[in-house]
Amino acid sequence: MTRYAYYIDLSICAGCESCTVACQNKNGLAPELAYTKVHRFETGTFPNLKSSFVAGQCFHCDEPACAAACPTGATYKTDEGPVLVNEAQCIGCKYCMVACPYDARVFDEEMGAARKCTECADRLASGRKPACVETCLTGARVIGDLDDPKSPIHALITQPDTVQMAGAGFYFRLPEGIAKEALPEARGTGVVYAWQSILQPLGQLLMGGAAAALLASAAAFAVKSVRGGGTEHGHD
Amino acid sequence: MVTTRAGAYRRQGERVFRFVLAERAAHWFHAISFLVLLATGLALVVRGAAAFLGGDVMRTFGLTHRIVAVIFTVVAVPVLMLGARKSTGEWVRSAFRFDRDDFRFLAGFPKDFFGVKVTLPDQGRFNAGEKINSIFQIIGWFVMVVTGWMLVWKDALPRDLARWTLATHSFTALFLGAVVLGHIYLASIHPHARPGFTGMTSGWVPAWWAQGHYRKWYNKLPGE
Ligand code: HEM
Ligand code: SF4
Ligand code: SF4
Repeated sequence: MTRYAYYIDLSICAGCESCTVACQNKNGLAPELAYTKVHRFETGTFPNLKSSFVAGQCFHCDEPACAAACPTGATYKTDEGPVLVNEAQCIGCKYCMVACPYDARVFDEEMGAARKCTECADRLASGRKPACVETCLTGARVIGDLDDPKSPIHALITQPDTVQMAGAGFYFRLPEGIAKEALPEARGTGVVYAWQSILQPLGQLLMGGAAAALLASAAAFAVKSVRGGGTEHGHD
Repeated sequence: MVTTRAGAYRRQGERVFRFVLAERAAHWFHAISFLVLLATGLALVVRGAAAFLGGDVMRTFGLTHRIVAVIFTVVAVPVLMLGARKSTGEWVRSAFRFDRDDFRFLAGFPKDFFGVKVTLPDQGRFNAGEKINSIFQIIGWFVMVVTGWMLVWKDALPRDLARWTLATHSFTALFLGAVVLGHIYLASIHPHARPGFTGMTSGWVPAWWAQGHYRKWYNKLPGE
């Protein structure tokens, strides 16, 4: 099997946004839409400010909130790791945009679909690298197969200053002096899973229960009228 | 528009006038728009429904949901305020007030529902079960309208708020769906309740039925 892991070395990221542009070209995105963005951030207090970059994009979650919320099944998780969307099946309801904790879904008005980073699954299938990895000037972006013992990804993600994104095969190496709090954090998705796995089934159970009760009532009256030979009327 | 002048609700021979035109119109605008909203919304909930119906139908459902939501939001309240203000006020007030007869009615209702013989206490214009349905419909309308319009702009809301709004809209819809199944069954099929159905069509119900079901109300009606 293949299980992809993605690694970004923020200590050498130059913030040049070549990845953003290469991705837009590869995916035919309008200039105002981007699957991967590079945010500059600062830590510390003046005059000891430290400036660095962090990439914001889809982390291909192990249990994606976007796929859990998707009512059509257009968004789905693949065994190899990438979370994909079948754009023809997407109805544009934007549930996934509400669900994703990282704001990684991109709504393409022209297409009427909530698109996303595919980890270039099509390229990976033919042995190529994602556009962002291929184009990265400093080599900060690396993709590898966790199930391949020879993959160089293992050495990278086991470095002491590397942080794994919780619940995702996605790793950042932090620049010196930058705490992991600088990385995006997944919050508030509990209600998405609770809605999908508790509230929706419970609500449907209530409707089913009501239907069963009234069928039982109708059956009771039918039996009564057959036994009694006459029809019921409203006098008790 | 038919007025609610004293005497609109009255006995006349074997019949009793129960609902004025504004009440019936508001009821049906509300009922039909509710059912369309429920059906078009359920397609997003029931597993496999979206795949079965296909993208085009689902997108049309989404548009229909938004258009019919306008009717659901703006019709019932003004119609009731213009055409049946006093009676609507009394309905809302009475819906939230339960006396001892109401509790005894509720205790005996399950038996009556399944056709077991039971003597239920005298009721006012609306019985305790109808009061509970009224409470659910009044609060439910408000919740669905507020959360529904928020969801039209869900991508502009703070993410956490949008998630809670979606969960609330979704669960309240299913809960109200369960309530409405019971309401439709009672009103159109249940042998003890269905003689009242014409109250929501012509406005008139059989006098014997009104007397049996709403004795406290019936006894106060002006008659001929
Ligand atoms: C009682 C009346 C209503 C019922 C029964 C109802 C039902 C539903 C249901 C079952 C869903 C799907 C929830 C899910 O996926 O779990 C839904 C979604 C939605 N409803 Fe309603 N709804 C009602 C009123 C409204 C109103 C007044 C609006 C206002 C515009 C509205 C706007 C929406 C929106 C925007 C969505 C999200 C799906 C989409 O974007 O197409 N609903 N509704
Ligand atoms: S980061 Fe967002 S878009 Fe990517 S898989 Fe997770 S929930 Fe989905
Ligand atoms: S917008 Fe498309 S991909 Fe996103 S939840 Fe709706 S149907 Fe699924």
